[in-house]
Amino acid sequence: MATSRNAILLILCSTLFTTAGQLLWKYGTMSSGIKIFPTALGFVSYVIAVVLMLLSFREGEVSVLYPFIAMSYILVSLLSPMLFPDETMNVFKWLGVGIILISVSLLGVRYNKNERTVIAGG
Amino acid sequence: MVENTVIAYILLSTVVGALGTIYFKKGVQGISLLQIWKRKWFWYGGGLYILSSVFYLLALRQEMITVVYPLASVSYLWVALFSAHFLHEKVTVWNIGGVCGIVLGMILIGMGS
Repeated sequence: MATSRNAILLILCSTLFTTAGQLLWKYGTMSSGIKIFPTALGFVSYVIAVVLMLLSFREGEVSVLYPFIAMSYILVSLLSPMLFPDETMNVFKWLGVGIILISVSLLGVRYNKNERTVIAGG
Repeated sequence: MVENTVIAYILLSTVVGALGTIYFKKGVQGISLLQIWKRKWFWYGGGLYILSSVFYLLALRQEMITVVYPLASVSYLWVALFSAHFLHEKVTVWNIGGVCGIVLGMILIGMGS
């Protein structure tokens, strides 16, 4: 199955909703109590992200789409220090995020033992 | 470094979440997306996801999201292990490479926090 442009659009939207969900959860938990509304909104955002992801898998290869999912690590690491004063990034954390991004992308690859070829998707 | 309670919450969240993923995988096999709500595995998986989120939120209250969120990627390791054991999925060189990389990434995150 080739990966359609639709699949890419769906997974990008999914990643945006994952990131939004994480940032909403951050906002909901950063004070001493818990803010119910942002936290609940974060859950909703996550559900939307999962639905979009499942839809994208029907039209595209998992191996192509996984790296886009992993981009949420970059987005969260980039945006949360901008939005929340108690969040910081440093070289170690960026290196860690970068390696995790590559590793998650590797997990999407499928190997066909019989043909000894790397096949996309699964 | 990262506090023990935070590590405990992340472990609980990711293991429970990975179990939920396995249940979910079983729940959506061979059935159209609109019908999945009829399968019990779907509901068990969903319940586990909610429990996983609760633990995650507890971790988030005590530690930065730029630490907690990358560390939560250990769930990919649990999913690989559980898939191999419960669903008899093959462990490929890409799985091994990927999880090793995630562990390395987590060590770096720990060093940076």
